[in-house]
Amino acid sequence: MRPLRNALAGIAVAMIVLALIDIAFRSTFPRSERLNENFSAAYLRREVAALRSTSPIVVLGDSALWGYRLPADKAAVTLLRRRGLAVENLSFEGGSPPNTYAMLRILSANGVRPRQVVFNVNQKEFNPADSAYQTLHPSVELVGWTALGHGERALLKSTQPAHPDALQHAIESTWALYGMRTDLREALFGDVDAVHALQTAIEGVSGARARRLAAHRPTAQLFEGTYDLTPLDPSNVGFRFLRRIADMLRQQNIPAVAILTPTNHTLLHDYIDSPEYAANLRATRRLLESNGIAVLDLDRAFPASEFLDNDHLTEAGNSRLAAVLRAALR
Amino acid sequence: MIFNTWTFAIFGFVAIFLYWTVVPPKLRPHYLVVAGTVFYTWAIPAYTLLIVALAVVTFAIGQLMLRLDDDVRRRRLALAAGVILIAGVLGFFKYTKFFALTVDQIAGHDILPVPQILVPLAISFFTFEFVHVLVDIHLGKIRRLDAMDFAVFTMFFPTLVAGPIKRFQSFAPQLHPVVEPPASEIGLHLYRVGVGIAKKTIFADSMSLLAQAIVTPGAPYGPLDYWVGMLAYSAKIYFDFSGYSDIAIGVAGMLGLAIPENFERPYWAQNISVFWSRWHISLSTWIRDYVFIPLGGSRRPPPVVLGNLLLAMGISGLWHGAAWTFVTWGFWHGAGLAVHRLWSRIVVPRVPALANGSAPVRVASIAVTFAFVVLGWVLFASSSLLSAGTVYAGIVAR
Repeated sequence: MRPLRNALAGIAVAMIVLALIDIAFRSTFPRSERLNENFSAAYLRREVAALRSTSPIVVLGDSALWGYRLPADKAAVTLLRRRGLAVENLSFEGGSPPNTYAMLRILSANGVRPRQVVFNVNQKEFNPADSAYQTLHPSVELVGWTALGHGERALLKSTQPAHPDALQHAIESTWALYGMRTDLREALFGDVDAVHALQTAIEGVSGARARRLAAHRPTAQLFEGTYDLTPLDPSNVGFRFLRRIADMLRQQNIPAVAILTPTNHTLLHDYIDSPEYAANLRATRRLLESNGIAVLDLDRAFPASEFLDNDHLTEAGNSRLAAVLRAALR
Repeated sequence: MIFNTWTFAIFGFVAIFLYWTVVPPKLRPHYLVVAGTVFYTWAIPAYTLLIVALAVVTFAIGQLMLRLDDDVRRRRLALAAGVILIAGVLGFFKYTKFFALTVDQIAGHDILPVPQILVPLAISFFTFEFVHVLVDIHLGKIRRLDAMDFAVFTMFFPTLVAGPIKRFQSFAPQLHPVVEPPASEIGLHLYRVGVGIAKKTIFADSMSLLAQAIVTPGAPYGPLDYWVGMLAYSAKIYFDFSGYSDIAIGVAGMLGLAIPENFERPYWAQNISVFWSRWHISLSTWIRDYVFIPLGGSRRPPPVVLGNLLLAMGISGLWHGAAWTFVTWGFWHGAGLAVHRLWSRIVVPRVPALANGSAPVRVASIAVTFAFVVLGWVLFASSSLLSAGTVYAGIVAR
């Protein structure tokens, strides 16, 4: 029995040490200018909890507002923060109307009432082939799945395993250091982890990175099939969620601005400069405006030189977007 | 159940806690069988029936062989029947698809339907243990086969997933009775488990990313990426497998039972023969005892010995995976062992500088052996021989 008692005592000491480390971690881990690239469910919960006592302008949306391929301090929303606007960037790569709706639900369920909501609507996300058309970001799903109604969940495809590991989830929710390990690694290495940072360095030396970027240089062909110009109607899951977003904002009386995402028409001319695309934009606008949401139509507002690809803006583009948003926000 | 999961952490903790505190010493073997069954059933319950059925048949044949002590001919027949049955089960589940694909590839069109068979967890490990038991009974190394001992041997959860491949005659005596280890020893076993988890989750999993170039070769990778990939894969496979073995050995130790070591600084080996005495030791000794020695071992004429080395390592390769890349990897090492055998018998005795084992010779030997092993891992990591060829061409491309 004695060895066992010693072993249990050792485990108890280890648990106490871990708990103390966790308390220190929770209180010192910094909040960043925008959601981390690989934000965890625990990190999202923490961010939402931090907003409870405030009434900020909340930005929801996809990579266009997150600041794709740019450092956080060059993203449009960060530039707004730097100019003193109380704005929180909760957009992320892989956003879409279902994700925006789920985020609104998460905020509501946690008692966060934004002063204003800004979100972008990207026509490509109404394409059933889009990766986020019917799926939520894994962390958003983990945090927000139960906040969605049964009918809403039925419209979505879960990315979680059919038999979720309850034990894993319980540990991730109670042990912050473990639950936020992806965020910690990103904070430490500026990447997913040290190995990704090392890989980036090696591929920089070997030339693989340059070759990969050259192979993925945005050409029009790369975006063939990205936009689906079928008329938007209630059979489209993205459009149904857009309606729910509008309904929810109206019902909760939250002022909102919807941005029709800046799109590189020069690059995508062959695919989107058509009456069908224009009709879908009009349908989107009609739906939003009929629910009292201000629409900021930036679809054609930026020249090709301010795009990295089809819909992501360069540093200069983000700077100009910040100026446009500044004028539209309260 | 996989080791590096919270499910196993909780299972292991509860299992070990109850084992020492609640379970009466006499019932500890029974308890280990129940724990092993829960552990194995966690994955795909249906396959528990397979392992249990095969264990029962192996046990029955083993008992029959023990009773046929004086009748060598009939004992040999029973052994042959048992080995064929066990190999047949392994072959059906693991190699049917491989066989059908190979026949279809040779024919150039679909002659055989390719079955979609889910390979039962750890089938390669428990079938090898069963063959060992039957062969060692035949050789007189096992003289008593107790049902409970055999059940614990079969369902011992620390070794169920990935070995080490145990030997019955060194495992079973520890059950009578299980000796409670002192606290310091439990601490050391816990440390061993921690080291194993760190090897697996920190080092091995991290290396996967750097090894990408050799797993999915082609554009945009260049020679540097392939070299880094080969070294990373070499690190990954070592940390992955030795980490798993550490966890198994540590958990077994906390249950008061010793199981074989599996790795002993293999990358420091000075020749390929020594490498195989330090890498996946429980498998290489199994291959030696149950394939190479029955084929005649080192006592046959040199060309036969060299052929047997190739054959034994080819089987070892096939054991690792049902694909030609694994078979070729086995032959690569078989050829390495054959060349080393010729070298150590013909060249080394005639060159005093090589025979005296000076420091530069030792360093060069380690480097050459390591390079040989690293180049071999390309075959192991590749999805096809064509893919491996792309890497080999890529590492020397300008």
